[in-house]
Amino acid sequence: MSDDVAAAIVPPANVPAQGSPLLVVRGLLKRFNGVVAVDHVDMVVNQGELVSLIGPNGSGKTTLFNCVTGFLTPEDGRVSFRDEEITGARPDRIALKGISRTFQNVRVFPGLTVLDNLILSVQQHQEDSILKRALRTAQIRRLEAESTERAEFLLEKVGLARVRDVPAHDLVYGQRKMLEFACALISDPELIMLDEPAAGVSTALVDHMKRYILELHKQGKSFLVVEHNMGVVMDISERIVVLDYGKKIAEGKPREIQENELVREAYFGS
Amino acid sequence: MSQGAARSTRLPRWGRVALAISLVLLALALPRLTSSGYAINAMITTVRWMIFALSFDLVAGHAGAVSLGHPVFFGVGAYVAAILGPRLGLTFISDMLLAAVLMALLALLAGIAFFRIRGVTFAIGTLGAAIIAQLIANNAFTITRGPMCIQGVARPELTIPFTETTLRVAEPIQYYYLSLPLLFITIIIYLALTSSRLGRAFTAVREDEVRAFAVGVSPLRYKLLALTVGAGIVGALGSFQAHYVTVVCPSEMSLALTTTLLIIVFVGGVGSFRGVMIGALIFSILPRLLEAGGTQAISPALQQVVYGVILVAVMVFMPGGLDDLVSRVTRRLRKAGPREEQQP
Ligand SMILES: Nc1ncnc2c1ncn2[C@@H]1O[C@H](COP(=O)(O)OP(=O)(O)OP(=O)(O)O)[C@@H](O)[C@H]1O
Ligand SMILES: [Mg+2]
Repeated sequence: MSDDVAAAIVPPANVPAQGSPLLVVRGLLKRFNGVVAVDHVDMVVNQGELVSLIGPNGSGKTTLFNCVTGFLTPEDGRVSFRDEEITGARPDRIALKGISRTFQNVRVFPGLTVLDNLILSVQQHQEDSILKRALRTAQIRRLEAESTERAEFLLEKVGLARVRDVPAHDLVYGQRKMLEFACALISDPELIMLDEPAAGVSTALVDHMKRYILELHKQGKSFLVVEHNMGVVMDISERIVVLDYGKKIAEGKPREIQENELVREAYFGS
Repeated sequence: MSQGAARSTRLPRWGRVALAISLVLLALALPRLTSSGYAINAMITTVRWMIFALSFDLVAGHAGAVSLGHPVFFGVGAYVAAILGPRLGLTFISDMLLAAVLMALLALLAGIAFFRIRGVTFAIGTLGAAIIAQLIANNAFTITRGPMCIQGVARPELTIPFTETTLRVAEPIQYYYLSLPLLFITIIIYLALTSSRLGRAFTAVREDEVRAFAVGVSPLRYKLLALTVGAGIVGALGSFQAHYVTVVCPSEMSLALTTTLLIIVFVGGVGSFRGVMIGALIFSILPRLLEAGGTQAISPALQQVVYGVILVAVMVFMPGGLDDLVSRVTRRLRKAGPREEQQP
């Protein structure tokens, strides 16, 4: 069964080669009435890479996420994904291009069941039309069946199989967090952006999540992860980008970041 | 909220089919049980409110945009039948189709303008549009004849296929049977748009627009879909109404209609097919029962007051509406189990 889905998660043939730039951010600038939240940041996530974005509270990580995924329009700079400029594009368009994301304050649809939350996260990516949906054609029924199967596999993976038919508002916080994580994976995105996936999640679940992220990474998925839990960051990252007051102050391998003076200062004050 | 509840009290498939067939047969047989024109008029009113409320609930209950201007599409649809229909020499059916298409287009334009506004401001904006539309209807005398109303809209004439006979519709019972197909079409469209994939997307838009974007749903697109389809349906209904009462007045888009729609949908159960149907039934019958009980007809103003009080009471004490109440009662009954109750 796991072979099955591993096959499904392997990137399709037309994606750029391993190691070529997937997400490129150049000179990104975003201000909120005078506060410079993201200050001319450059960064790259390469194909198949797992990059972490860290920094003290208020350093602009979430704002950068929002600018990349179209929820905010940057004042300056450009964002491109797979060599296509996406700066200022609508967030639903960007999502459909293959960037999935989670939110720092976990967001799932409370009135939908766990299963429906998952199917909804993949259905928009599938080739169909509103008319076909309304008529519920054979194609739609097949896609529903496929999505259900895929959703069930993921639910097994994140330990939510038993609450499959429970409305999401009945889930406890950690379960919602895992559900949102699974939702970010189900559409088989090129780039997965997680905003503090481990926050508020039990250590056991964090461990579980960490292993699954590494498993997907090994299969070639690219990640950009914001996380305050340094244990997790140091364990999973290939490269780390550090923000402070909206500026990129350091970038490098986990070991290099741990030893970096500027980073220490930013975190522990001078 | 209503979705989860509906799921837990859902009948098995054969049960739903059987229920649907019996309801259709009941709807067909009902006017045969009485010879009273009053009763048949009440049935037509009920069907009309069902169509009106279902089309309103597509927008308010599913796309989550409570538009207070919904009756405008009804009224303008009626004016289309009264003004454009005769000029273009259209028959009853093509008249209704024209009203549907024009109202869908009008809704598309209105939606693009109004969906920029969010929350309460949206409701106020649509309210303003409704007031302006009624002002225009009242004052564009050369077109609408204002409060004098347009009189003498033609009664429907239907050519029966493969024969030379044309049927001139005049009796209430004929109008009733003419209204049923419109209701069935409305129900089919309502159910097709609110279940499965489309239903999920609507829930997304209603519950969390930000998250909806993140899963690739464009909230604007789905709101426009609900609004154009809802307006198309109610435009056709307005055309039907014009051919039924044969008079079209500015009051066809009055805000009293909005109040009744709100009360049907919110008392019945917003976003719930069953709830909206029950609500439409109750609030079509209720005013007539009040009339029958009292010595004379209650004034429309008093009726509005009574409706207002009911609406507030339901919002406070029963936010899920009647649909939620039905679900809770059936769940209770099932949990208790009739047999267990018998052995103390
Ligand atoms: N919508 C907004 N309006 C005004 N200011 C904002 C807004 N969003 C963020 N900011 C400000 O921008 C700066 C960066 O915030 P951001 O949320 O991006 O930081 P962060 O690195 O994600 O922090 P945390 O680790 O606490 O999540 C902060 O000073 C914050 O107060
Ligand atoms: Mg943040």
